Amino acid sequence: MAIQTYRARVAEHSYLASKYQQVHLELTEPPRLEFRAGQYVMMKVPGVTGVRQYSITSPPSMNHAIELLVDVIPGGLGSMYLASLAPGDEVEFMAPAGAFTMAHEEGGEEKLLFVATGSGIAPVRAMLLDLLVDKKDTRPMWLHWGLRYAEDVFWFDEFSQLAEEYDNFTFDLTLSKPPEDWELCTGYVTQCVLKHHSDFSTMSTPRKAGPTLHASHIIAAYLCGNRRMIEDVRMELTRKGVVGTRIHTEQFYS
Amino acid sequence: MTNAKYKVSVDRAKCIGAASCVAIAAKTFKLDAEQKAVVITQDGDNDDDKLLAAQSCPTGAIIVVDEKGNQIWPRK
Repeated sequence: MAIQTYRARVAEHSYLASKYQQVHLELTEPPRLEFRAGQYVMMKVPGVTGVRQYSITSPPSMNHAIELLVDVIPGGLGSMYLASLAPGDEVEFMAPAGAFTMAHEEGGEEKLLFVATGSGIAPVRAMLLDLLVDKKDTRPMWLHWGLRYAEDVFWFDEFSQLAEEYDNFTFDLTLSKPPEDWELCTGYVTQCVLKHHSDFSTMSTPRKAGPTLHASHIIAAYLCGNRRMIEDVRMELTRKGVVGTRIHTEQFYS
Repeated sequence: MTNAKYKVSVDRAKCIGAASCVAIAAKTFKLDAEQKAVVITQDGDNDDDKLLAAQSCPTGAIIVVDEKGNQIWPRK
């Protein structure tokens, strides 16, 4: 898919949580965008030299539009621009770009571990919707997502519903600064990953009783978010025997 | 051969493998086995694309100099 310039119009701008917003852009010229889940667009921001990258958080099946997740806290010119957009506004971007995409099926990735921090969930959402909903992929999949405060939480119902509907998908949300009555995982998401997958050699299919398998050589990980999480999880996975070429990462830089 | 005047290089320590440079100037950049951008050739893309590729880098890891050795990007 060659990169080209697209024009789109803001169809909807949603406020998801304390600092997160979602922008739905309907493509106008050209009207269709073919991309791989996990890729991003390079947004032209008025008054800014160069472009700003934003992961597409909607699945490729929605090829007439794209959805972007905005974290306004970094206060960058790009995120402030996206946050200022209103229905009817027109934008311009180049797409698709990025190498953080699902490996080809013949690559032997039989169990998939997704780990994200903050807005790093954006490309992961596209990947999971593409795999579970559109492709009916039945491989075991885990999503571990780390946020900071309870007021930062968004898309919780959506991921919970996916876990209810797709037996091969497990969702765990971790807060590093939880309220007292928080019943889910606490601390950094790396700790949650280690807690739930302490020994990959005995990793079994989610919510199904069955034979345990030596999973370290068939598991693949997709990590997206801050540098610290990526480094820590990569180190732990490598120690447990996960093949380096099956650890895919996308570092969000702010 | 494009007769490009700009020369590009990658500060490996700053590169996070975002690959926007690869998307914009695919004849100039690629990701290596460590998912770091490397320069394939200086003559693959025109100067405008090479500069845009550098400007698209979220970490400013791509350095562009002109034929006189003056750094064009990142701006000093």
